[in-house]
Amino acid sequence: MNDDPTLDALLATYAETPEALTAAQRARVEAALAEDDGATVAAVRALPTAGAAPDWRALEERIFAATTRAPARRRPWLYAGVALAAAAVVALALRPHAGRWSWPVVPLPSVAVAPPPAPSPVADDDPGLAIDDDPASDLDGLGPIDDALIDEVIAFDDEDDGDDELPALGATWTGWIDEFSDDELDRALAWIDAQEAG
Amino acid sequence: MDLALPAAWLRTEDAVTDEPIDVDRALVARAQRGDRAAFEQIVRRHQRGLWHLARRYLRSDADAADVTQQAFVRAYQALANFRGDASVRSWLYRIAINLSLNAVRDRAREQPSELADDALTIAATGADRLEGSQRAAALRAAIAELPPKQKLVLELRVFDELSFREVAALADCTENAAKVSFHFAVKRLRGLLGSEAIEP
Repeated sequence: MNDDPTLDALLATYAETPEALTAAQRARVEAALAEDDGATVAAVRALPTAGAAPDWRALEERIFAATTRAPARRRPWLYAGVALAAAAVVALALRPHAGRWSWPVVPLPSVAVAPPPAPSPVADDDPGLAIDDDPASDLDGLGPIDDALIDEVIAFDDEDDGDDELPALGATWTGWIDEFSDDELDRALAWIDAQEAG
Repeated sequence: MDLALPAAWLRTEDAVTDEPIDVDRALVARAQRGDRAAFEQIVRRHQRGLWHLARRYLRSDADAADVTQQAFVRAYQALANFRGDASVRSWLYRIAINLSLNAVRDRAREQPSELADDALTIAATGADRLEGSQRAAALRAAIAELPPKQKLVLELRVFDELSFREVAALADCTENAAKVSFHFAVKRLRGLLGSEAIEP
């Protein structure tokens, strides 16, 4: 056994990248490895068996008893089927798009819609309309906030107690129906019946 | 030094290493087709090797028997998955090693001393036997001090008589790396024991 550190380095190279060794280096390493079957290995091999060997026949019987159920069988057709299905899915996903594929369009049935409530009158100088027309330019032209005007609007709103009792307007608010007269309501119901009749 | 070859390692019934490995593969192929007798033959051929392997890890005869049984049960359940990339023996040993490591992990709190346990099993009736058993105990202790990879390679190669190719497969390394690990293990043993301690 050689304690040459150069040999240790060669051994490490032989273990990881043997192609990096020259023929002479490889021969040297393999000669060192061949010396391993010596007295030390013989002594290890001759060590007394640890423990007492079991009754082999009894162990066999235990194993046989524990393996009475039939093992799982190989199912090559199953693997082939799964592989085929996977290939089909991949092919469908990757197929060339001659015309772009899309889901078929199903026409939706027309839905009768009740007439919307009449829009509340809006002042001509309402800045909201101007913003919708040209937001950027209108916002730029608004100028500084007039705090006095805001206070005036708040004071006016406080005086109109009736508005405070109205529910918040929402998509389902139908309070405007209450403003219909009996005659208007009859005409609206007649119109709805006519729509439903066809 | 009176270190006779252990009778258990002579393996008169399952002299696996002297037979072509194709015997095992043929048996597995038959077992995969549902041949129960073929599987039983595999058990008879390898149960001793698996028991000794597990015994080295577990240091308990009964636990080694349990692991041997579990290993064959696992192998039986996984017969369909055996494709012959490794030898049948390597496959079985791999299962047994994994089960042994799991068992060792599970009972890590107990930490029995193999040296004390095994030393007690060796009868020392005369002065020579006593000296021999002391040397054997020292050698066992030296093996136990080896780095895990070197220990595994040494034991698989010397006790289980596996080829370096099989050892490499079980140790997750190349065949060259297995040879080098074996070399360093032997070198280290000589260093730990001194040459006079192991010369016959």
